[in-house]
Amino acid sequence: MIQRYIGERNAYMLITLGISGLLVLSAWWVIGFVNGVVQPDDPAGMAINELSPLYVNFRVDVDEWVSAESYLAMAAYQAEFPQPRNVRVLVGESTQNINGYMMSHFVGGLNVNCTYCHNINNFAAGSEWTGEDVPEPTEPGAAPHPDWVEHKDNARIHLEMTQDLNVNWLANLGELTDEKVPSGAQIICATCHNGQAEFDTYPAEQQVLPDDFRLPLGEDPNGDLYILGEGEGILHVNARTDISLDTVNYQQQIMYHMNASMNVGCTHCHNSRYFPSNEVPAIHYGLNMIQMSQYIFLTYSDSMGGQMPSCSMCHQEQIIPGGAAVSADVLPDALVTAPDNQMMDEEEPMDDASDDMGDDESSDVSSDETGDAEANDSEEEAPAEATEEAGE
Amino acid sequence: MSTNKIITGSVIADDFHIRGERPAAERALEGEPVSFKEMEAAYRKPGNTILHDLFGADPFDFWLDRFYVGTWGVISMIGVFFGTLFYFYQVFIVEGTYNLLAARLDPPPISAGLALVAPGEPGFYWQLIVFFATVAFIGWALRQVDISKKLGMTYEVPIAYFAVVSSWITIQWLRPIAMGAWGNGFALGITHHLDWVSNIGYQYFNFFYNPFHAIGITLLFTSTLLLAMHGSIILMAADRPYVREANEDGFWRNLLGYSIGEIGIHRLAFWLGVASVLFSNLCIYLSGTLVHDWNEFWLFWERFPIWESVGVTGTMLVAVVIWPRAKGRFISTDEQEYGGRDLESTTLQRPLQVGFLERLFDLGQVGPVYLGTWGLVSLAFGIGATFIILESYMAQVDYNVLLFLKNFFVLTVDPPAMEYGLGFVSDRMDGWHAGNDWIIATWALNLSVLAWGVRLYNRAKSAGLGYTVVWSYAAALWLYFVIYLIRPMAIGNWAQAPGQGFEAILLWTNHVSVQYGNFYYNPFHMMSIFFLLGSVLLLAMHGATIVATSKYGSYREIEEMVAEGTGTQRAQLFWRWCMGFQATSKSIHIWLIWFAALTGITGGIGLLLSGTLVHDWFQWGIGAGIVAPPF
Repeated sequence: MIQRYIGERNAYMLITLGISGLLVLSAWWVIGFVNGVVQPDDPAGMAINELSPLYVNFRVDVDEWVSAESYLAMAAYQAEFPQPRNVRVLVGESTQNINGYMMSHFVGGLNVNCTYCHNINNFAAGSEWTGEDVPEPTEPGAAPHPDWVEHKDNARIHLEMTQDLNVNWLANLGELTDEKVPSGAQIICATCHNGQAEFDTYPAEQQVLPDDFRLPLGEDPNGDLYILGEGEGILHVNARTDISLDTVNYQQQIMYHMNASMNVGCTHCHNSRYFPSNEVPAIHYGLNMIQMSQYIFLTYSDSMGGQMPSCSMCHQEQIIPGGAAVSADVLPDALVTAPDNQMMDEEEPMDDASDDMGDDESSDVSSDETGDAEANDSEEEAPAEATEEAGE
Repeated sequence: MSTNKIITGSVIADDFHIRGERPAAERALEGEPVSFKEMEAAYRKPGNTILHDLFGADPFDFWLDRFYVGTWGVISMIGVFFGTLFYFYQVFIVEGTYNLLAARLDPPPISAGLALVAPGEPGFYWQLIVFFATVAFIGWALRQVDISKKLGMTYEVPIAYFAVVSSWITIQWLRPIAMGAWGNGFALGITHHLDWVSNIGYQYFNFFYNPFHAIGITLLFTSTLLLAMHGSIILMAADRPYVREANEDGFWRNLLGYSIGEIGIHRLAFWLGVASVLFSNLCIYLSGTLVHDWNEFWLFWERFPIWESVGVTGTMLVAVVIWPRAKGRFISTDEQEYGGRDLESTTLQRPLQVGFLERLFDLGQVGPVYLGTWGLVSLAFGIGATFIILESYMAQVDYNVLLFLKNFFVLTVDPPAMEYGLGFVSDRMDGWHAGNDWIIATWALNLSVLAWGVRLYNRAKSAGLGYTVVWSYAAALWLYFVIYLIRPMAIGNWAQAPGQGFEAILLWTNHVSVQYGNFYYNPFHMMSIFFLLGSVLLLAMHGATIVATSKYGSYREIEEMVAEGTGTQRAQLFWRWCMGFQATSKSIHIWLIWFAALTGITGGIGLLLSGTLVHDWFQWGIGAGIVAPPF
């Protein structure tokens, strides 16, 4: 056809060029497609200029979540009560400081309005608060979340949990090995919540792993703990004759879960020529962290709706979780020192009102949460009341 | 017989009848025996090297006894000398050890980047060794070009060799440069380089999920299979004067329905050997430069648009529109075969009334394939096993065809759990899909491969050939039965055997190595890998040599074994001048079958020892003193 008009040679060149162009374009598309899958756009990276100095790598957008009513109510409350009332965990801080903390940690960490946990007509109100009448909200925009009492109780438990983990687990990292210095990052709300008030600790579809994969944080069939308990546990499979390849497979899935959660290869913690060797210092951190995960599961799972913690929940494909605080210096003393020390340090008058504002994880599930939350609160109540009295 | 052939018998003593008065070629044509040395003298001529072409002179264009020197040979030997010197200096003086097995020659630390480190700093000698080794390898490749030119051969051998050198260049030059530090280079040392391989494999989560690694490994094993098949068929034809190429072709066509032919197998061998190296290059080059997580890489498969409704529509369209059209173009191979009068056709006339079942059970000839009793048994058990496995796959995805296709490579039929030992899963309700299906399918497969072995024997016998292929097959069966039968029985549970599935086999390989302290330190595994890679090397060498001399007829190996023509002589001289010794048309195939067979034999031994006598190969390695310190 066409060669009649432009000659055979030209037609050949034309067709060759066309096919080459088609191939180049399709190759372009394939590369782009694979690239998009392998390196998806990083939402945290896109807003890098908005990173808060508090966080390792986390974007905070308070204004998007706090309503005008909440701002006004908070300002009014702060003017009325310069010292907070009914505070249980963040003892020793002024209302202003606590408000600042609420904004950066709770609102920023969970992406919720104040009303998620508070009746903004009385920030101190809560399930245990009997000091004053709790007025009903007057404006619809400021209406508290239907579960706000439960949320507030749960937030307290989790605030104590962050203190517990920072003091009893993260502080140990420096002593595990001489060859590695911990970054100093601390656990705060956003470390786990990552901008979500309620979330699943494991994604519904786990890449490569079976969707029902969970870490072995519970008890084995004999009632022993796999990780914190006695015996070899499931993490150690080398040269064992009492286990099958199914066990090895599960152990490898646990390892891959850690790989994927931190976006590192096995060699981050292992000299792969012999996995049981402890040559690479990060292995000590990894072990400490998975023991901490088990401790969280055994101690706090009720307040997490019975969910089991995962590595990816906090790490989000980073070695240091983006939602962690950069160091202990930027946090209130109450979150990074043991309760006993804290009591001795605290002398200034304090009392009243509003502590935590946002948080919670609770709502995911469980109906018996409130009961547990109260049980936990009651432990805390004694010192809290003591300080209140001292202050007054 | 073409006149460009010099016929010799290489069995004749070297010093027999050296007479200068008449050219060896003339006497050979008259039927006189000519010694190998005389024949060699006819080919040894100065000139025709790369340097001659470029500058008109080559200062080192001579032979040292059997070795051809050449300028490139001198350059190569300089590289060999200094590379070896620095290697030993690093081991003996710097590291202060005489244990060559456990020596470790690390590249400079990654923090040093692409800078050259100073003498005395770690990695200095590694840099020197890598440089001189590269010189040696490239010099050697160009020396092969010179020899090829002198012998009038085409350049397949240096091309194949350069493919291997490209692997070294990729791993020691291109990838470290792309990653920005010499520290990413390949560590040297006999066991230490295994440590490096372990750590690279697990640095990017798991190399088994690297698709180019998978292709590379597949090509390595395919090469070994081809090596065994080719070596066997030639040895089966050796020393049988009545055997011609048609006997070989008839054997393969009756067995598999296809024979690639004498020259074809060597071309395939050459390309397969080269391709396995090139895919391996891709596999290592991409790791750490573009891809950091080979597991995650496979998300592209999950996210393929084909699994969406558009993809389904497209596939249906292809099925409805293109398939029926394409189908119409197929010509019945059955008709072709029955219409022919070749050796492999069982009937001379075109049968009019032969029905399918009659062919199957009576004549045995189905299309180009001879089925026969044992073929039928093998096929029946094979189909049975496949059916059970595929049915279990389908059950796992609730008989959803799209999910079946999407998950085909990760679906698996696993053996029963450890507590059931060597027995069936007792629960009658759920037992079938809890491992009983695996037991039945695997036993069907076992019987199928055994029946195939009998079939091999029968086909070889009726083609008038020897039985080498049966022995080669037995070596492969040894590894197969160790994996699926002997070792699980020795340990006492089927759970030690791999599941039936693509991913399951890779997982099993990984898990067995992890459970028994790193298979790289299993000496039989080392040997198996040595023979596996050696097989590919031999396949590429042999294929390239024959293709490079094919214009002189060297590919007609059955005839060449009886009387060597000039092609075979050139092929032999090439390796004699290059490395000092050479095989004959027959003996090269003995090398081939043993390298292929020992891959399976040593691999089977190494596996059988794991978990029965030895539980931790790394600790065994420490005891044997082969592990590089510190440990």
